Amino acid sequence: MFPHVVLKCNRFWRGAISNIRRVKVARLPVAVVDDEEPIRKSLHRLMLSFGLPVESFASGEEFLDSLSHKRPACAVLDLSMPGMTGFEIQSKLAQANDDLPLIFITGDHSEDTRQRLTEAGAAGYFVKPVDNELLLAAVNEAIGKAGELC
Amino acid sequence: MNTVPQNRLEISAPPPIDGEECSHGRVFQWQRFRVDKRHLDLIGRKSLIYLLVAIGYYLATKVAFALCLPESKVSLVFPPYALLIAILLFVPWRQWPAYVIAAMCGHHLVAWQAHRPTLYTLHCELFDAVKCLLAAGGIRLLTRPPLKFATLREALAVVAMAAIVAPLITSFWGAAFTISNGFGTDYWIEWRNLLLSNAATAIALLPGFIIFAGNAEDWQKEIPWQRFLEAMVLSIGLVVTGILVFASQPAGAETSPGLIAAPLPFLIWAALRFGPGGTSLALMLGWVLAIWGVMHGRGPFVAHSPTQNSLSLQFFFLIISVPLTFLAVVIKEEENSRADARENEAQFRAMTNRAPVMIWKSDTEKRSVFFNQGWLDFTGRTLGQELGDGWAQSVHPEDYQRCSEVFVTAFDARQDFTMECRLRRKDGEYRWILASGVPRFDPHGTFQGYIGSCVDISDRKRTELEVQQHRNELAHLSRVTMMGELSGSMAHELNQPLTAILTNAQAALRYLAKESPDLEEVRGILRDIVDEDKRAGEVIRRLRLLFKKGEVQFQPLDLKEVVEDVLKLLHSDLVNHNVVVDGKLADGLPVVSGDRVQLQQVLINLIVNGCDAMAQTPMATRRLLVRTESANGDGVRVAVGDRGCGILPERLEAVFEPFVTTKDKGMGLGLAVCRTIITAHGGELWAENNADAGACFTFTLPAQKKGTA
Repeated sequence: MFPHVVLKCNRFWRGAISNIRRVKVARLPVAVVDDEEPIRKSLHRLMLSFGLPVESFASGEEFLDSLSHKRPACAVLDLSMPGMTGFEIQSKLAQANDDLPLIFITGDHSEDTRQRLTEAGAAGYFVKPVDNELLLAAVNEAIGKAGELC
Repeated sequence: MNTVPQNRLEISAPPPIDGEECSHGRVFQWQRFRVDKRHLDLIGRKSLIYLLVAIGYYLATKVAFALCLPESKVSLVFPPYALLIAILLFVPWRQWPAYVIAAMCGHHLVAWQAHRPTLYTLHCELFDAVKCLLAAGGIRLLTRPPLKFATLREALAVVAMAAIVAPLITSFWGAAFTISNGFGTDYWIEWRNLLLSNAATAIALLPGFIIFAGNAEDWQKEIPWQRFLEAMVLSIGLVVTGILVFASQPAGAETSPGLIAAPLPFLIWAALRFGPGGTSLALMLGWVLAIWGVMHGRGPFVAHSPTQNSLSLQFFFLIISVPLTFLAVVIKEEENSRADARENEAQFRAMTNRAPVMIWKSDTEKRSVFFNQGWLDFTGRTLGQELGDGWAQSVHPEDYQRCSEVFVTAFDARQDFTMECRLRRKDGEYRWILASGVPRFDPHGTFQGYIGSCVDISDRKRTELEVQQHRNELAHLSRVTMMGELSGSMAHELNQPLTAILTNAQAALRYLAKESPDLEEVRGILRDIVDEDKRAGEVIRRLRLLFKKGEVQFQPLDLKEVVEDVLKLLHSDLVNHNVVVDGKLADGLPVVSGDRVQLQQVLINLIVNGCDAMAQTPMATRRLLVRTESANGDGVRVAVGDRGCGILPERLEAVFEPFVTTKDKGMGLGLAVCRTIITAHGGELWAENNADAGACFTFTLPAQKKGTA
């Protein structure tokens, strides 16, 4: 019975600690990067409805520029964009040894793409249209990771 | 008569002899003999003709000598003159000397019988020969063979040369040698006598001779008995009045001068009804009677000295004959031209009635005056039913208004017109015909009405329709194939609004689950959902249009709008290819008439091709230029230029051939179909390489004509 209580306790404390951490790191916003305004806007809203602060960018270049002065907790990115694509952003960050968690949303559901993204260390990969619960879980996990690292 | 050498020239070569037979000397000899015999035949025949000429000239000269008035060497008329001119006019130039020599032989015989001095006779012959050659040569130069004395030109030439120029010139010489040989006393009287004698001869006899010789084929014709009767009545009348006037009255103061006009009605009758030939014969008859009268001291001309008498006779006949001859010629000419017109009309009718097209004619008041057999066979109606406005009953009621507008407009402007309309065939079926008409004008430029033709083009139209259907089917097939290749991009294009909708809806639900939901925010979300749903609907509408297999609908289009539509549809594909579109779409382009779907198909083809061509191009430079602009103010030009590797110059035209492709997959029909579509729209599609990089596909479309739907 005791171990069970301890376990319970542990679970409680762990949750409490993680909650404290989450509150702490949640001050950093989630970055949303999508060239298409309707999608960007809807994702922005969804993040707000999750209770997360959010910052939106219309292109990869814009997003990368922002990193120098304001760092997000994680980024939700469209994979195919005119100009800089999701892949390019990912490789740019890798070159800069930046391990910012990246969650990709794409219309392309080929196995190749998924594999390529995961191998490069993507924090999430979703095919449009995305279910909000799954996305929330992924974001939370990414934030959590980011928080642990802080 | 040394005529043999001349005739040798005329003989054609003997017929060719077979080589085999030639080897036998005997046969060859026989052939030689036959040729010689033919020579002799010809020589004999020619000689006979010259002999006849000599005899004729001999007899004519005899008559001339007999017609010499006492105390004068000059005849009243000198028939040999007219005879020789007439002969010369109908034989080849080269034979003139022979004929002249033959004639002079005849003359020499007469002079010898009359015991005239030889030298003087020879001089006379030279004079006559020159005179005749001059007259005949002049007539030959002024007229064109065959000479028939049927036109005013011929009559003027004959009268001018034979009655005026030749006698006028030669009389100076003739009078001089007559005086020098001791005949006559006064040079000018002799000159005048010669002149008048020759002129009278030319007027009185030459037309008759020319008509006789020149219209030889007419003598073969059978004469209707009515005409023969008329000629008989005329002759009798002429003879009776002639005898009454010229021969019955003894000369004297009682001779009534008014009577000499009595034969005139008969002469005019001859001129009106019997042509130059009949007139000439009638005048000759008058001459004979008058001369007989003068010679026997009878008639109105016998008053003074024989010279005076002959003068007044010649004057009288010259004054009567010249106008009557010309009158007869003019009437004949008029008759001939009317006969020609009748002949032409008959030919026109025969031709139009056998022609495989329908032909009509209208007067100046838009009333139809003629339909050929082809038309009547087509409509199965009679000419009487069709004349005037009757034909309009066969025109399809739906087409009548339009056709009559085209016809009336063109008619009033005196312009050519062409139109298509339906005409009822005799079996009741309405057939499409192509009708055209042109205004008719007479030589003076006066409007005469219209003449036109109609051709049944129903079969042609059906074929055209079938070709069009095949073209559309091919275009559809190619379009469906193309859309299949683009399905990934199309799905993405539809996925985008769906994603936005779902995300928005889920966000809204989360907002509403809160204790104090921000309704304003939720309202904004719902608005966006509506917009996105509409966008999805638009995508589906566009796609459905492209997949639809429907009738081609030509409608007024703004190409800018069409291009924008296509760019929206292809947005995902362009993004996937990392291609940036450089759109230069001019505003206010001329409206073109076209099928929206087919033109979109062309644009999609060109844009997708451009993207594919840039697969190997560095991403930073993958730019696709899409430009629309006004072309020369009379159409629209659309260009799609890529930055790819371009097309080999010798392949620029080949890319439009079917089953020619540079891609791994695809049938190579895309561009071939594009060209078919643009051509069917009355435009042009071509490819060229850009100066710096890549290829550019350009097409033009004509602006929609004003007033057409």
